[in-house]
Amino acid sequence: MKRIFILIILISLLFFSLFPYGVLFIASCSSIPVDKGLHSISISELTIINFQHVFTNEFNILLCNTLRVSLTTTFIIIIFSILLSYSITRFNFKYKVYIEYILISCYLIPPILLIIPYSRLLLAFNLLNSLTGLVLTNTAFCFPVCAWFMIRYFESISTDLDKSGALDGASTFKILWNILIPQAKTGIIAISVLSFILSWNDISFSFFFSDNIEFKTFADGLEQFRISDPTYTNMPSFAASSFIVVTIAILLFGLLEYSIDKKFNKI
Amino acid sequence: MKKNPILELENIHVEYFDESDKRYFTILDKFNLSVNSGEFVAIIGDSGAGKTTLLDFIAGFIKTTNESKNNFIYKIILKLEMSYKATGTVKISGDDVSSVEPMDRNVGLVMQNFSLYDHYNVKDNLAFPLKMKGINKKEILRDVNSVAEKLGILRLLNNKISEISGGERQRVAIGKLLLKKPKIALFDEAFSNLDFKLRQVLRKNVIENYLSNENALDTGERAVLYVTHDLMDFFIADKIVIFKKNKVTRKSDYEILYSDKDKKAWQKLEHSGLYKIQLNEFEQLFNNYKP
Repeated sequence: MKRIFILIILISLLFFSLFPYGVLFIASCSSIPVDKGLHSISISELTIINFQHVFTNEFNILLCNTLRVSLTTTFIIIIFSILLSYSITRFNFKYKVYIEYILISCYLIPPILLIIPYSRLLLAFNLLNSLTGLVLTNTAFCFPVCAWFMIRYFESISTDLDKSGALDGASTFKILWNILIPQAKTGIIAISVLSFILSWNDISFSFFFSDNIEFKTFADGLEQFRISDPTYTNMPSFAASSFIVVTIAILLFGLLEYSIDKKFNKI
Repeated sequence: MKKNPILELENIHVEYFDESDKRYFTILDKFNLSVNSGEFVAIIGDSGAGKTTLLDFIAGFIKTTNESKNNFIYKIILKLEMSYKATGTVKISGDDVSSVEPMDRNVGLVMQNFSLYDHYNVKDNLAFPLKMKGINKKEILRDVNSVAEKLGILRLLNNKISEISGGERQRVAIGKLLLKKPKIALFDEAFSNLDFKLRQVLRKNVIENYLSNENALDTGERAVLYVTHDLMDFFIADKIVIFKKNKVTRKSDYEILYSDKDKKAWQKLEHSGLYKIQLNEFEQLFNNYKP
């Protein structure tokens, strides 16, 4: 009875989570504008033609930009979070507790408040309208919370392992690479997913710091398409492109998790 | 014939910084110990009396903070890293290793629990110290198999650490030690959470395969320092170091007993107050003890 109850709850949660994704899929397969309501779509009218229309030059640029910005941001954040967590948890120095306070208080600042200082900085370094600018702003925004999570993970790893590694003849870098990072791989997967989602879904930095489609990311680009189509005639194509982007994001999560998990299970 | 000491500790002095009291407290003061090759030294004492600190000092995790070093960067690091102050000399086979990194000290350490790497299997755990030495794969495989066979863990080589029992984990830890062949082996309450019978077997493994020159993998000099609360360890120990912590000053006094299996050492153990056991009970235990 208990199992059936748990199963019902799980199925309901699954349905609740997948419902928007399902609607997006149906909408992307419809041959009529979606604003007429989903009930107006019949199975015989479903088509995959919208997916063929999606791969325009602009869509490809947006997708490529988003991938480049998100993956680079994730990579930088993983590297710096690991290095910061290692130094905070493995070395004793004055005022280290304040670094953690600074990190968490940085994340409490709403991103919209950072737009003006960021834009001044990007302007000063001639990085407006560039993917590098987007990577830097996304990194600056995601890094504090990811580093804070990572510090918690490193704290949970016993320092006995460091001692054991040192006496086994491993250098500081080898202890970090061969022992601590594999132990913290769950944390690394968590921060990589978090930083990837935050930078993949970013709309504000792209909107404010890029006015050229060549340097925009997907979320902002789609918003521009939607604004430019007030009659919703291209809505199925819009839904199809969203569906593709969500699917790519899900596949990338899986790949990221699988590769981190595989990487650190062998000497 | 006088034996050459393999390990010499001279005037070891360690102070820890207490964050709440904002001052340093002495843990070890003027500690001296000399250990000869082939000796088994048991270390006992109150909790927080400095047993693990001593092992950390020998292994090189606590380094001497000699303030007379006229190095600007060193002074800044010392100012920032306030956790401890330490002075003294550690000599291994006559060489002063006080400022040598742990990886170059020729010391092995077996801890109570987590000195194994959960993400590797048993074979990779055993091979790790050899791999760090840069030994080729063929030799590593041969040595790992030979030690695993000696310790009866050959069938577990492909198992993950999480899939094997506590006793088997300790065997893997001993295996690592045998493969690394360090001059000094440190055991920090290594077998304390295992049952009596298993402790006997593992202790025998250490003595037969590591300490005794006849059966060990090679015939190099070596010694064991063993932090323990098990009385049985005292019956096989050549020296017993007793730490007694002063609860007011937090400083530890120590006494070294040269246990030649006589009543004098047990008498001192009885008076140390660390064990609620009488002299006649010590005797009885010793008479019933079969290694």
